[in-house]
Amino acid sequence: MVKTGRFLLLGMVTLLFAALALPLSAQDLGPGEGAPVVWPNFGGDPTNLNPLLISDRPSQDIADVIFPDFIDINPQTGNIDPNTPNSIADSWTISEDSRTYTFHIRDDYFWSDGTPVSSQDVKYAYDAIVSGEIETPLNGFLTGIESLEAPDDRTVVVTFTEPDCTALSTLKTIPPVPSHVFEALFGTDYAQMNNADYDLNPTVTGGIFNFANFRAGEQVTLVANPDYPATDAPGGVIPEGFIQRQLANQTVVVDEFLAGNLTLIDSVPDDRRAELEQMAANGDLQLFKSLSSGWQYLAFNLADPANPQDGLDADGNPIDQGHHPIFGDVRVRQALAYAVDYNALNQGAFAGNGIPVASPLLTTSWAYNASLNPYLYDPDKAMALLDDAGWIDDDNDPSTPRVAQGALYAEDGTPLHFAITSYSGNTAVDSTLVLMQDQLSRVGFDVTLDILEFQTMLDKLNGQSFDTIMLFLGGFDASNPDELKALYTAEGDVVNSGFNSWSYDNPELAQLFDEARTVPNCDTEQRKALYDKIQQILYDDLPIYYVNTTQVPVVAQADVKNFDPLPLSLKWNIYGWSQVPR
Amino acid sequence: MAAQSKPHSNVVQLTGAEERFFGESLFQKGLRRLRRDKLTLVALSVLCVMALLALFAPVIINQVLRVDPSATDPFENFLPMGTPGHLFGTDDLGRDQFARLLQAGQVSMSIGFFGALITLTIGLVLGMTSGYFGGFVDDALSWIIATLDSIPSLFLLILISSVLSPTAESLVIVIALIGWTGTTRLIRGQTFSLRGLDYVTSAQALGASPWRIMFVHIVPNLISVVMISLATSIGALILTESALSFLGLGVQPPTATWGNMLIKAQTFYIRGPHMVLMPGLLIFVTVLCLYVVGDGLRDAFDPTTTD
Amino acid sequence: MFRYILKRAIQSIPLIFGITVLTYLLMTAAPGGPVGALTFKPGTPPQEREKLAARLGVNDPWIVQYMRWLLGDDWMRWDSDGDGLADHAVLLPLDADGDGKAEAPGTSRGVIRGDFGNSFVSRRPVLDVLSERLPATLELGVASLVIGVFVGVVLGILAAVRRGGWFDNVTRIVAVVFNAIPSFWLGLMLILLFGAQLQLLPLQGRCKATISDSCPPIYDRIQYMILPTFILATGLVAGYSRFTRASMLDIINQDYIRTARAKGLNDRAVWFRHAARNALIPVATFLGPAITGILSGAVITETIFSYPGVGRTIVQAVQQRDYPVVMAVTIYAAIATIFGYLLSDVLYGIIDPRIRYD
Repeated sequence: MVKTGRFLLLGMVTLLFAALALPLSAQDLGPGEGAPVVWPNFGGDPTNLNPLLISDRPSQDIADVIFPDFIDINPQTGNIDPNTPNSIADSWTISEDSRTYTFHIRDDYFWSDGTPVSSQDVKYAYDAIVSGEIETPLNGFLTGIESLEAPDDRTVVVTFTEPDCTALSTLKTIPPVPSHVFEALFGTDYAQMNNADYDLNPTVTGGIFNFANFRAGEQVTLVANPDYPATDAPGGVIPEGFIQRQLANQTVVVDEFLAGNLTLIDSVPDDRRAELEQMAANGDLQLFKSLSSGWQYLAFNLADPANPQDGLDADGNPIDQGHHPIFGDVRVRQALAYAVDYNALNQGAFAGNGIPVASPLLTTSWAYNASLNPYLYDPDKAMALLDDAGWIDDDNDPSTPRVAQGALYAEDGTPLHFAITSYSGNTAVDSTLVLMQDQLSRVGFDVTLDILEFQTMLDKLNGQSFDTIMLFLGGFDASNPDELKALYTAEGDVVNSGFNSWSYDNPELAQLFDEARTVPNCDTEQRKALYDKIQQILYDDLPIYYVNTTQVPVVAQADVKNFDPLPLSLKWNIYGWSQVPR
Repeated sequence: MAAQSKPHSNVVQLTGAEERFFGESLFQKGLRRLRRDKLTLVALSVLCVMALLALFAPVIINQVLRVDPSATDPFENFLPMGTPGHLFGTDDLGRDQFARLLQAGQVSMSIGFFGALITLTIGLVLGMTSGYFGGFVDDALSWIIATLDSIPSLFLLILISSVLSPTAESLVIVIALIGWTGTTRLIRGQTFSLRGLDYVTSAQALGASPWRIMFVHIVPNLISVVMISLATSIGALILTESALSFLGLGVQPPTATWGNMLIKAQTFYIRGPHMVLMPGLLIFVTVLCLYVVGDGLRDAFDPTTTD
Repeated sequence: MFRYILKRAIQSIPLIFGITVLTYLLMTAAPGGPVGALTFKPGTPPQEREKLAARLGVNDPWIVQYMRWLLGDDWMRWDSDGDGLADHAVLLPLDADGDGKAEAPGTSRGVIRGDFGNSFVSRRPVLDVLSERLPATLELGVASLVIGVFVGVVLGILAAVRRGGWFDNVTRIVAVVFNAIPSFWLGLMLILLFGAQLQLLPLQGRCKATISDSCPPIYDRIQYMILPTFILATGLVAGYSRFTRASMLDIINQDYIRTARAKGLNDRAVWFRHAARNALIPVATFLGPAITGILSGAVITETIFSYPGVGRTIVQAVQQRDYPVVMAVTIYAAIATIFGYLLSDVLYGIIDPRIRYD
């Protein structure tokens, strides 16, 4: 008995020491010793992990941490800088005529099989993309490039057809690939890539983590890369691995997190926000608020929805597409924006997390026009605009729909009736639509909601046969305002294909976009002035009413050390996240 | 024509006798049993109340509650049950939940009722035709039913509802397109066995037309089967509607159904528990009562059970 | 017996054929084809979409698509001079994407030659995609089928024995109650109660997320199966208990049971040796519908519990218009169901020796 007691005592003392030592050892976790990062994924299985072919979010999230970038935005500065961690160009020079860019490729970065990255890896990727043989969404981004050469293993030379201020943003989209592996697998028969084993089993990679396995419907597993360069990850890659865990249903994600089965939640449901904020205040978890990189919008079809046509004919001449009977008139579009009570909308649909939007550019962008104010609720102004546009309240009952009397594109007597098309299954969208429908009815709009299954909705969007459509647009690159061009110019107005489904074809705007892209020496002041003007035109013309952007709360477990998101990147230092395995 | 009229009258006489002997007494026996089955009677009265509320939902909303069920006020949202002016509280957008539940009840119960009605009509027509005539029609129909029954119904529902965009009306059609096989099989079987009974054979021998035999001899004997099938189908269809809503393929806003209200409420179970409770409870009680009534009818009208 | 099984298997071929036609027709009738789903990323040029549509062949009439899926396209577009480009085509255009160049010859061999094709979305062979998903559904399905049948039959027999007693009434009411609750709703409540509140059972998934290439063996993760199996089994228990009870009551009113009783056999022997055995015959016919019921239930259950099975696959595949996957899942389900019906017939024979197969 005595003996047992002594042993027990000894055991308890050891436990006590272990408990005291625990917080210390957490800071001192070596590479690969931390608990794996478990990241929730609601978007279904990744479909392709070959960075050249990726077109979906879950795949991109994986590729981000297993492949290097050619050049990338530095999350600390918001600019495309040389030597940004996880990118392989460590310096570059620009020629006198601003057309030729010469990059130097660093020599301390290796693929997971030990082969050093080289300029060939960029060249191979570029050749494959422009070959037209692979099914890649990247093809559309590389249009301004005349040539991309790799004169030696450390040098990439890119020549543009004309001086281009968005050159670096363009080149940023080229993902380096392990060319020695791809050469062996596909050679120059790039089409083979479309159906390759590598696509979901990338054996050779080069990032913070290495690919381990893919369990369909469950998780994608990555393991720490022990050879990740120390310059990019001082102290090495601490987490043992990275697990992208698939969850089919968002309802219980918070409970799953509280049970300790997820390292973080990257978008907390509104319903649990208050509770989690309280827990964060008590130190039971870490909370960070990030700004969504996109917006929810209501786009007006400006052309005749009964007869959808392209913006340009085969020779590049504009086609007369007719006018939408209601929204062809800018005053009606503005009236609609003034009729929406944003505060109520925010309260009801976004639990007060929303922020009204005035410009398609993110507020974090250098080119953001801060002088614009979002359209705010002004029902009197809305009614005045409608009266002015020839949509009158014929029976002095504001709750019945107005009718046309002298409207620009509608016959007299047409009721002010239209449909908002959207997709099913998103609570925030549903709520926004129901609130808008009610609010718009108060000034005399008669709104039907046309909520369709996603694919069916896409058909209607691309077919340009809608009145108005509500969607999200996100993933914008704050450093490159030029990427908005496709939304607003005639080249993007292609039925069943383009991205300007609302047929907003304003030649002046296209001209301004081109000017801003080719400003001599890319003078930032000058470019900003042009983008300010673009934003002003879009604000006045209102082809798209940007309804809302949201603050997204992110929570992480309290014991994850070094969890330190930046506004531009949540996981920039994921290599250093250290959590003692439970 | 004259030659046909004579056997005709014979059949009528025979039918009268048959009904007194067979149909009526069974029916009366059923009613007598039903009157003693307290559980079924309670369920039946609950259903009647539900049906009346659904039927008069617009009147109740406009005249009694005097609220606009689509009027939103997000600053008055998630009000709990029992708030003055909002008996069942308000939802996430500040709409009166009582009014919404009434509206939703009308839609949900209509989907169930009309879905079951169409199912039953198809089932009666096809089941009686194939059960009575047999032969090629029967073979073909049996094959189609076997085919459809070999695909899990939810798989088919998912497929069909991605073809049609989901409104309450299209959902009724979708549900009916899937659900008819069970009823048809049931009625085919019943018709088949009734056809072999003596009085049908003798009516045939007397030259009665098949249609007459069907409507005079067979249909009355199918009534109990039909009523049982109607009760359980309505319940099953209300559940199916909510399952489709769960998969995002149900009736879309602003039209409310109990199913889509329940799904949306899941997102708010912390802030608005009453939003989860009420539609869930209504689905549960309605479906439960329908099943109990179906069971009760089956027991009451089952000719093989003894008292 | 073997000849009978063979005969039934052959008879089910037209059935499966009918199912494939119906499914294909429905799927291609749904608006918004796979191309839109696969090229939603902004900036995708129109030519890319054309090319993709041509590769997937989704611009062809549905009957041509169906034939390609069924019979293969190696005979629809082939290369006779060995330059890697097709030079002959039947039913298909030689140059489908309109780039002035003939397409590569067809390579798919069609379902009748065992080629289910590749998933439009993940581009992997459909059979690989499904074989990864099948075990999860199978383990849930078999577990709930076994539990559902066993519990249901036992409850049904006991309820019939004690007909009209409190046990009978409780069983009846409980069965109806569980049937009247939407299953997704029941599932959520159970997760919140046992997972979040009491923290007794895991909330989501098939096993704990760890750095390993597979889930541990089934006996190490039983706790993950309890709730989903419960949800799937409740419907079966309800159905089987009522069916067995009715069947039992039917039997005991028959003459030979009365005779057995009159001959002085004790109650237990009558109930379990004679009545139950015969009552199980109609119960066996329930197996086919039970399997379709489980597969339907799996769609909902796997979604609530994020279980990586076939039910979730078909929802996703329909949403993404991944035709080959939808087709394959449907065929799998049909085969499982037909197998269920066949099994019922065989069980019939085992339980009831009077039945002979011819």
